[in-house]
Amino acid sequence: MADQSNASYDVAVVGSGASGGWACKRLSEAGLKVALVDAGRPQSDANFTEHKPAFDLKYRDQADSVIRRTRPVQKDCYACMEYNYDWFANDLDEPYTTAADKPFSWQGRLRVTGGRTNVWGRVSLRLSDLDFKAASFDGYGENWPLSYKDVEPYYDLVEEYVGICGQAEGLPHLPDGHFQPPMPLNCAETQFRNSVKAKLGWVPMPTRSANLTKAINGRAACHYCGPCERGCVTHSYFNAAFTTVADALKSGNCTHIPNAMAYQVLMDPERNRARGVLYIDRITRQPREVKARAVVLCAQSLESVRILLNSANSQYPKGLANSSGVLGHYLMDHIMGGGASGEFPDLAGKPSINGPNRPAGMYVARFRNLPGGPRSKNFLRGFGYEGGGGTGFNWGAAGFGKSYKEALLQGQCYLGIGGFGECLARWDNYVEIDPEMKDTFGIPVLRIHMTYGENESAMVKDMAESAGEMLEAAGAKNVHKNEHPSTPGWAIHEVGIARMGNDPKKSVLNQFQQSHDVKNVFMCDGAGFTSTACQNPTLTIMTLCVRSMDYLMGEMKRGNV
Amino acid sequence: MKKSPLRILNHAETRETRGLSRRQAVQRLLGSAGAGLVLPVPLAAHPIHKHLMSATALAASATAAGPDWQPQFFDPHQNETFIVMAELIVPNSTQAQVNRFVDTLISVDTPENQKKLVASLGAFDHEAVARHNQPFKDLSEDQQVAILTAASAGEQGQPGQGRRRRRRPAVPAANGSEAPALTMRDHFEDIKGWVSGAFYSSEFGMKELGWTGQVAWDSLPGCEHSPAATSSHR
Repeated sequence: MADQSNASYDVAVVGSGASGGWACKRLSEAGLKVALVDAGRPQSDANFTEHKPAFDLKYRDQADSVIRRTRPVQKDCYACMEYNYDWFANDLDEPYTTAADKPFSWQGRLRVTGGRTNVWGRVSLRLSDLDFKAASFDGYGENWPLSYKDVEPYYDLVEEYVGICGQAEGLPHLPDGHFQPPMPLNCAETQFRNSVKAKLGWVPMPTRSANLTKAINGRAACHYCGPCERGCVTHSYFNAAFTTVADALKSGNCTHIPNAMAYQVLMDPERNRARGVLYIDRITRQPREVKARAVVLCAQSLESVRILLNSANSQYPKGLANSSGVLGHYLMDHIMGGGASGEFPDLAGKPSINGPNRPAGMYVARFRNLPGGPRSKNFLRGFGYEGGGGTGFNWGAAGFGKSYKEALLQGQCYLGIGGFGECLARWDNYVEIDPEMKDTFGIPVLRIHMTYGENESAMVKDMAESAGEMLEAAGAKNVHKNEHPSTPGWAIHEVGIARMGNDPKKSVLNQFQQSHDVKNVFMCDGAGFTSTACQNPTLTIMTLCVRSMDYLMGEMKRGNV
Repeated sequence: MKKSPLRILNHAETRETRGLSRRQAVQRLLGSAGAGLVLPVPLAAHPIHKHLMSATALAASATAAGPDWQPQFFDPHQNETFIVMAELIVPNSTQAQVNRFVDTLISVDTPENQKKLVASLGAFDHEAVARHNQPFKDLSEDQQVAILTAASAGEQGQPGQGRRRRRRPAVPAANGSEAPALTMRDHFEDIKGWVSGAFYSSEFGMKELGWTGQVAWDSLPGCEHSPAATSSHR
């Protein structure tokens, strides 16, 4: 029997990451009483190790097998390392299942306050109406129930606070934002940009990234040490732990409940309203209830949908807020695995083991299937690339002894890019509750079913070929193309399993990420995405969250919630 | 020697701080922030200094420095052989205690990687006995270098034994077909991967590459080629 505490809140927010932090900040600063139900343990500057040299670690960050004993899935995330692996979920404690022939790699499951923003890649790109109205453009899938002009002011608001470095390019399908000064491209990247723009008309640019180049809100400008994913004592990248969540707690209106593994949304069946959240204390394993007038799920798409599916009751036997039957369907994650790299021997400088190290790379904007341009015969939608280049040591130098050591010092200048492509929304890609397996907290786990289709395969082929074409155009030597479609989950951009829409029969949420069925339940992580677009999702997740929270507060004032 | 507040934090100093009071240690570490350069004003006021006051920055090195060190994985012969080979492949490896770190690392690695390294060391003993009727470590340096030279110039049977790809699991052979046999070159690349990875991640090896310990920079340089020079570049 759950402990019935007397505390009652206006809103219970589940999750402390990109959207949870914003929900807490927005609501608590407006004077609402907020409970932050956080699966993480509190994060602090004392846990940050970005300046710790590898030789101060027992295994110098080279013993993958030690990390894989408890994080066999999480270790596949580029950011999971000896420095910080205890921030990630223990995969043995928190499993999920898949069919044997449909592997899904559920990475980036963080269990510290700030969630995935502790270790995220920080690329921050706006979506445009080409994305929100993609179905109107090419006939596939559904439009989002909103348009760019609805979200534009919220993009502005979020960018101003988060601090995005970048530069305006005037591309209608990748709208410019409120940028801090960009971090400059290096020589190989500059040559790449100039040549590709001149010869192909495509646009490589400094990555728009949540790294400060100017101080704001007590956060210092970047000092170029490099490894943001190990934390930042100067708070120069965006991490919800020391920004939105910290602001919410400072307001005096937000109560932080760490180590709280949300299990179910509890209902008041008479009123068809949620009455709060049931969670399991991760340390004591005691069930606890948080009472609130509204529940905002920001636990990350898969976790939030798991909570709703685990909240099934006699009124909603297929999962809470699932009268449509759509909940759990249309899982998407960007397709990766197509790209190329090449050498620029004439631009090689002297390699250095010291900084400055730039935390943001290069991005190539989408150039396929644009309005007014040619349409690909092989696939719908498009892709962008992340990548970068520069001079490094010649680690592949041959031989041994003194000559090897000398050869290693000969700088090698490489540049490589890899695509992130839109994944079409398909009913067959879905999640359900596994009928057998429970996690260590006794909570039923997800069974995930996802494969990529022909559209994604065709896109990967084009990603590789076009990347090769760009490198050739830029004068690279020894161009290597690679084409190995990624396992679903690998992009760590999983979205879309509680899609937004205008029709309650075909969607779970309305344009304010409010449940069609249960009016005081909102989902503000990526679960509401109607399509993936090819841009990294986090900036849009934060933006929609703020817009939806403003709507929630209006509805509360109007007495509708 | 004149004591500069901006001198480079060196190996001896990190060891030395263990015997100091916390306050003294903090002062020394603060003195070495921004090592080796004159701090520009914005950086001197930079919150980076806060970090250097933290316990994290003062954490003791976890390297195996003690005199009573015993290998966890290697037997005494393998350990001595590895020391000899490491010094020949990456000079100064002995000083950097490469063998100790590799022993630590291999002791927690997968059975496949453990088997492979044992087989690689064994292959060099096999070659040494075949040529000179003595194990590798007991040969003259000329004889050792001759064997390494031949191995390093040979054909690779299974590419991907080197430093960068060491952690990637081997592609399993298709049903019925055997993976190509490992060659002396493969064994050489396997050992070299371990030695190079251990040496250049040690404080000694990083210093040899010019590492200063500096953790903060005031700005980031961009490309200084003229736009015309880079865009017309081939």
